[in-house]
Amino acid sequence: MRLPFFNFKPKRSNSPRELESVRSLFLKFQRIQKLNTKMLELMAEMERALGGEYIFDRAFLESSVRDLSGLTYQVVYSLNAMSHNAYVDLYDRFQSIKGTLEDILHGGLGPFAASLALPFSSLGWEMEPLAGVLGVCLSAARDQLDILAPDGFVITVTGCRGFFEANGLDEKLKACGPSEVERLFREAAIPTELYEAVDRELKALLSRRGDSIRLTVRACAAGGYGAAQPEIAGLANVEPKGVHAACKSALAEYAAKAAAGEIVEGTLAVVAVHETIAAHVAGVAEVQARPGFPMGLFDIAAAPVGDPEKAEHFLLRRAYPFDLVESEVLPKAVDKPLYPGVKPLSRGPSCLYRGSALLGPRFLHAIAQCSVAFERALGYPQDLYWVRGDSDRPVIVDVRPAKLLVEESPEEAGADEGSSSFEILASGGETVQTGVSAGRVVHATDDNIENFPYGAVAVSHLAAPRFSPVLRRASALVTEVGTAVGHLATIARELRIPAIFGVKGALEKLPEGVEVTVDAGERKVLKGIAEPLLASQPHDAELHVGDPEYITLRRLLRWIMPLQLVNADASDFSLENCRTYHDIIHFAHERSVEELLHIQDAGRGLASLYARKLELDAPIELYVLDLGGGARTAGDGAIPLEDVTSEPFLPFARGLTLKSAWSEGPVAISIKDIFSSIDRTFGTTPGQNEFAGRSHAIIAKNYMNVGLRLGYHFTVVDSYLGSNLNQNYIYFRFVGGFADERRRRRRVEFIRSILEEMHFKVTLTGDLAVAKLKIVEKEEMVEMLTRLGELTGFTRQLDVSMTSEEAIERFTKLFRERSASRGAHSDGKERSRGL
Amino acid sequence: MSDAIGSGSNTRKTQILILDDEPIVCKRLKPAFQKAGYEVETFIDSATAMARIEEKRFDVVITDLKMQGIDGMKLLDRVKEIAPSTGVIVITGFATPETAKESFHKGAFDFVAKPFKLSDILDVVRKLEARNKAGAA
Repeated sequence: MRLPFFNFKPKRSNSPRELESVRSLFLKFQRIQKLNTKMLELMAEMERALGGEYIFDRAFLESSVRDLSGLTYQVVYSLNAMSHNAYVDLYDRFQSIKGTLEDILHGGLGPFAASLALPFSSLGWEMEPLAGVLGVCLSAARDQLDILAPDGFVITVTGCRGFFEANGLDEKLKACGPSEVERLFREAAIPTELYEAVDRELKALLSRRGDSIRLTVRACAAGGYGAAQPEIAGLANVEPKGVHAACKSALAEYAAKAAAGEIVEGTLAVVAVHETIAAHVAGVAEVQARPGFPMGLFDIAAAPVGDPEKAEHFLLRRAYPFDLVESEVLPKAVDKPLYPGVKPLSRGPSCLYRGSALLGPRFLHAIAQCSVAFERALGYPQDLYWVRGDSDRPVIVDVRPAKLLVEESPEEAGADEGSSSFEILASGGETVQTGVSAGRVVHATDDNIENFPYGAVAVSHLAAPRFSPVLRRASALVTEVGTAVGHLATIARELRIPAIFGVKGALEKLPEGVEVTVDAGERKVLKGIAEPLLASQPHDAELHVGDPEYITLRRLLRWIMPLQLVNADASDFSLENCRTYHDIIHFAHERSVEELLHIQDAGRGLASLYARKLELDAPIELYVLDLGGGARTAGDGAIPLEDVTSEPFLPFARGLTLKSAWSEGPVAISIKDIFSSIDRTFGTTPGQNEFAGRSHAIIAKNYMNVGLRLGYHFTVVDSYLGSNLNQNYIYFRFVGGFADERRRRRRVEFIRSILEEMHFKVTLTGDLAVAKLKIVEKEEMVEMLTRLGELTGFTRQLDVSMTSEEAIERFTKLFRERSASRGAHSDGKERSRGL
Repeated sequence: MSDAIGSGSNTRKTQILILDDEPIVCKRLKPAFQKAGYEVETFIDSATAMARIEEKRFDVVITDLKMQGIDGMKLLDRVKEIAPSTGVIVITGFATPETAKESFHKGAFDFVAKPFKLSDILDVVRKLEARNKAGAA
């Protein structure tokens, strides 16, 4: 990266075209900023559609993609126009993502379509058509819902189709009888590419889970979330070396069922391979209709592994707190263990005897909570297959749509009538994710982020991104402050957690421990558990995970929204790594800022012709080049400070004039001496032109690029300050000095300590300090720019005074005290920025 | 008629016909309006919807604009011919000032661009009911 003022070659220009070229550069930068804003708005609209509050159709998806593609293209074009085509390859990245989005819109499986096998960890809800429901659900359980589930991988629809096609199995199946199916598959050869893909995933799984694990192999239908899944008995306890054969066997069973008409014709198969969980008890939690219970009941069946005849049943209410309604426990011998380490007469935590039931209340509640979490994520009730291993939490091994719910229209359900009798504790705000959930209120704080109680309703002051882990466990989220656009809102929609942001006084109105029902679509929090309202959910106008538009939207967003290129200083911040439109526009933004930093290269020559002196009550000669909107007055004369209208430059210049920076200098030499030495130093530098001693500021309404030379050190401050906090930034660079290397280093250490206090991200390289601050509210930007101006004055020739390491702390303290004395401290403020 | 909303009273419920060739729109609007106390029929085929309009009087018709066969403008024309008091709300993903102007010119009560919030469309229907009620008084 070039540094302004390091090029000491005289650069004079008499051509107004150069002024135009600087203006043009800035206009392109502004264009990128505007495009960026438009894109973020469009992306936010798409994302909000996912939250269920909006009615949209396919035309909306098509037009959104078309608009976003058009805007992204313009961003890429503008960046290349700014940089003399330094980022031509970005067009290729753009074309690749655009192609993916168009493929998804046309019903294609997207860029993973060619994948033959994929680990669970790479699956998202939107990948069901390729990976099947089972793999996607087990993946979501592990990665999103904080539910125990086995690790594994899937052989995709593409992989399975390849196997069928390579062996002509479709044709052969038509010709052979049911008894020949198994032989047909056993003798079929797995294509080399597929064999290797399975091998690769298997090795990766074994390296994660250990070589001694046994595996379960199951073939399932990739038939959509709502489709009934046939009962396919998987093969459990398969040795790793037998996985390939087990896959063929599972597919044979699938084909036999398809031939028998048990699977909808044309449904494609996938194979899930996962760790077999060593278990003592296993069972299923089904949803059962029951008169008098509008939501039905959970029927949790549990039996010792290998002894299904000894199944016990527990009926629980489907609403929090999941009261036990009925149980059917078989008699057992008191002296025999129920499973290793647990006997009926074991004492529990409350010193009471445990009892002879296979499952205790806590474990039953844990199963119910898992079931509710899946119902929320998938949009309708699910039957969960679980096992109990060594952990005291259930491990979920299969998820299927519940079959036994009585279909009832919303009118019959009378949801509104039922819920109207509940007191409204809080209302208002903005729906982030629709849905209804009930639970006990727990206030989310920094102390309980990591151990937030499962199933509780989270209430917080701020919709701060740090509360993301809470959403993996909460049943709903209500915040006092926050909008539907933001990181936490994205997570809530991703996890489909009913969420309302901006409910005034929520913490007071919803005290801890109170049981409530959150109706996010209606923006209401009701006192108590409103079962009629909870029961109405399956009939609601919600967008369901299985709706084709939902799947398409989610798949599109996967290539639009995620921002993976976060750190502009990281080595992987490159155009090759732009994988989404968001990556592209962020990359373009960062690089356009960098291009703009060089604006002074051209501006130096221009400044001599067009810059006007700024009337500043500080011992510094600063010339201003206004690109438009930066100052009120036109003409050739000096600009009074009060005529400056540039939003970032005005506070910075005011900071420069603060007496705290200049009047009580920490250096034991006078201001006059300092500035006479400035003139002397630059005046005596060979090759310097007549303007070398001046400092220049290139400004516009929302922008400034200030290059300051004070003594032997150079400061560059580049900032954009507008109404959109996402675009606001300050870049600060400081280098050079008069003193020896040690003292110069101490000065940048001092600068670092001050800037870090101001929440800048600072990197030091020798005596070069580079600091960045991004995504800042306007008010805070003004404060930061003022302090930077003050700091710039304060640090003049400070290196000379940096006689010891102790001086760093001393001057840091001094600066802090001076800033504090003018009431500049803003420590402890809540900030949200992505550095 | 709006007095039936959510009150559980025995008065006649507001009758709404919804026509949109995108099934997802009907699928989501129907339960939302039912939950709010309306009686709703949905159609994804404009010819069938047109036939239904000929045989039953609806209080409100919510129709998409751009559809195969009979488009929303034609349906709007026909509704206004046979039942001028029926309020028609046009919903479209291809909103332009021209189509909005044409819709209003033909007598549409409101013109709503997709995507829209559920609460927004419910508000429009309530306004329509209020207007009808005021007109009848």
